[in-house]
Amino acid sequence: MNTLRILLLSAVALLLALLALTGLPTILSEGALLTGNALMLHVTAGGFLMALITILALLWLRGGAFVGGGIAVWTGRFLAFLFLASVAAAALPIVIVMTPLADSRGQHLLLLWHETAGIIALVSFLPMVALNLYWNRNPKRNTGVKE
Amino acid sequence: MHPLRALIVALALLTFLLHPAGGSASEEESGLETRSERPFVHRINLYAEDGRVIDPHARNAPVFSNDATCGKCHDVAAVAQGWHFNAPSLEADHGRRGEPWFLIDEATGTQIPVSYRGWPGTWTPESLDLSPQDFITLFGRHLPGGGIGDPRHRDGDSDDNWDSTGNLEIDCMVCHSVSPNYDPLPRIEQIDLGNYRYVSVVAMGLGTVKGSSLESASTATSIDDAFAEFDPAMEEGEKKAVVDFIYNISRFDEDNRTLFELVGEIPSTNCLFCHTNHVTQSSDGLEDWQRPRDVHLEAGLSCVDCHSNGIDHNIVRGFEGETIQGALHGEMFTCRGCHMGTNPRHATDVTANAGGLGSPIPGHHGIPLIHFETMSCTSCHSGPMPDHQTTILQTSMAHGLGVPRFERAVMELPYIVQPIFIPDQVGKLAPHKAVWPSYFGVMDNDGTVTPLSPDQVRARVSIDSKQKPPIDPGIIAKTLKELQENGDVAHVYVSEGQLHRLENTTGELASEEHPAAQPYTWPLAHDVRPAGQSIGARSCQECHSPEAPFLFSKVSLPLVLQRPEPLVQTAFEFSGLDSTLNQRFAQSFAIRPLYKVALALAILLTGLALLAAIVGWLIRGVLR
Repeated sequence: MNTLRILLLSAVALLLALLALTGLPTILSEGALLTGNALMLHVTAGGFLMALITILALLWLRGGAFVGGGIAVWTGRFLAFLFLASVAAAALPIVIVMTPLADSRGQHLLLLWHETAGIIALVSFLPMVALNLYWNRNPKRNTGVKE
Repeated sequence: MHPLRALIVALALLTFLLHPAGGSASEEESGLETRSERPFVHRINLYAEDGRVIDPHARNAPVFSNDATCGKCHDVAAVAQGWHFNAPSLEADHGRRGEPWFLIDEATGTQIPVSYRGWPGTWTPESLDLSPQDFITLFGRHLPGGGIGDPRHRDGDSDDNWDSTGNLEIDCMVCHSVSPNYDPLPRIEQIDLGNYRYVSVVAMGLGTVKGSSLESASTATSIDDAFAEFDPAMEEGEKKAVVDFIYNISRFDEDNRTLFELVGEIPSTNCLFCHTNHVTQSSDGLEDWQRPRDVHLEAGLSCVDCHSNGIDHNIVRGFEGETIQGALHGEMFTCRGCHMGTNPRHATDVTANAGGLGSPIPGHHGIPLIHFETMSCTSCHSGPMPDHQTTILQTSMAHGLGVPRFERAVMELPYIVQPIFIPDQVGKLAPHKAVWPSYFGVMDNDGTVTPLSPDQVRARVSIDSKQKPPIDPGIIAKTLKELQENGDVAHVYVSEGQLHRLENTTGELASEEHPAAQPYTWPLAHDVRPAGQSIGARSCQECHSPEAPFLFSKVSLPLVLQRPEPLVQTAFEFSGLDSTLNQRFAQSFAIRPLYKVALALAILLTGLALLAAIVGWLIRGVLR
């Protein structure tokens, strides 16, 4: 199970890196456009990430989330929650735009929402992984058995 | 008197003497003004070029001058710097490329874009050995006067005989007249006859002219009989005049005033005399009457509602980033300025002054913002709906529309093709009209090609005047050979994007790509289609599918030079877009609906999982 989780987290990390590489230049430099191959990669990576996040969310729940305690566990739990929620939040504006439910002005706000949620996901990912790895060092914690 | 009091009195006296009327200098200099929204009824006297008021009943009454008559109240010097008159001006800002004039000749297969404005891809009349009067003879039919027609208002000089013809003054009534008596056709006849000073008076029906100023006085034979009867007292010596002119005195009142039926808000029909676009060949099979007009005209607007101007007549052309002397010009009259308000920072942001002239504020629901950053409004909203084949267009300026003649053909030079999607002046993809130049020319050692005008070609070789495009390559080869024999420079023929020249060894016609053969393109803005008929209004696949005409249409080049196969290019070759990438992107739209569902499901499941985690934790907390 742990190997699968590590594999899944590695895949998520790879996709996040791809999303950041293609998306961040647009956020950081005013005027740069997400076009061409960068857009194609961004959209494709986003699609795969959403699929993985869904699997991870379901596994996380099944694996006994919110069982156990300790500051590290709670921090890791919070970061995992924040990460999953921010990825879902980043994807939601895309569905709204594609549906299509937003006008140009609304799209500006949705784009800001998308970018902010994406950055939160990116920032929360590494500490989340670090803390969860620390958490997973003790098998008892991982099974939800109280110490 | 006390010295101080004397000084005050002296100063007061001096002040009075310097300003006897008591008004400021600027008030004295300005003309009559009403400052009312109601148009002033122009029942006015006419003035001659020298400023004298005209008595139309007088024998040899001089022809009226627009400059002198209109200049009584309007600043004609400022008007003369306006867009329609400033083409030859070296100081004027000529902005982005517009429709040029075309020097055409079927027999030599010539279509050369010509302009005084120096737009890239055009040739100046001087470079084609065309004097200002040659230019007026060719294009005067749609010239409003001033500029090149009036040596007083333009830079440079020429050897033309302006004393004989008179100046082709700005004809204010070409645009401003609403009189049913104003007829542009007699005006064109007078231009052809070289009677420039009489064009306005004849067009307005205020007078009659006989004779031609282009004929020299020595070759004139006799005055027309009707005029001899009109003026039997005329001395023999006076009959030197080649042109006879009389006023139509029924058009004048007892005070020698006549009515100028004009308006400030120019009706669109007047604009359309010079700016008509007529599709002659398209694959949609629509008749003229079936084609929708510009949505703005249908909504009750007129051309000048957007293409507006002040007294300087610097008419707003209405493109993004348009400047006059470095300042943004008419930003509020652009598509975006009117529909979305003037906020130069955000192309898609709606500001408080949006909805100008009652325009709808566009929602653009679901269209990703990238479209507004990389494409002009006209891409989706203007011109004919992109089809699998481009259309052939004729215009007033290029084809003399508005001047009646028999046998107007579907295919007439210049061959204008539309729409071609290429980046505009700010790098946004926009529909353009295009003409592939065709001409005989000479090529320097450095490869620079300079065209020869049809007259220059005829001066060197004999050309069959009945010849018409598409011209046999053998004839082109023969003509090139003859041109070559008459000089030591390399002669070439340019057509349809290629340069043709004789092989040194075989004497055969060889073709190659050359910058000089590149098409001249200018943006297409009209007719604007309503929102519901814009590209992409129905689905993304209108552009994002492997067969979408917008990106994958075939551009058939109309042939001036006969070829065994038609010359066809794809829209991509002009747009600068990546063909493979866009093909792939277009194909991805086949699974786009599935992607939407999958993404929505993923968000839903993730959301539910997170919610379940929280709820589970809360329940455990309560149970514990």
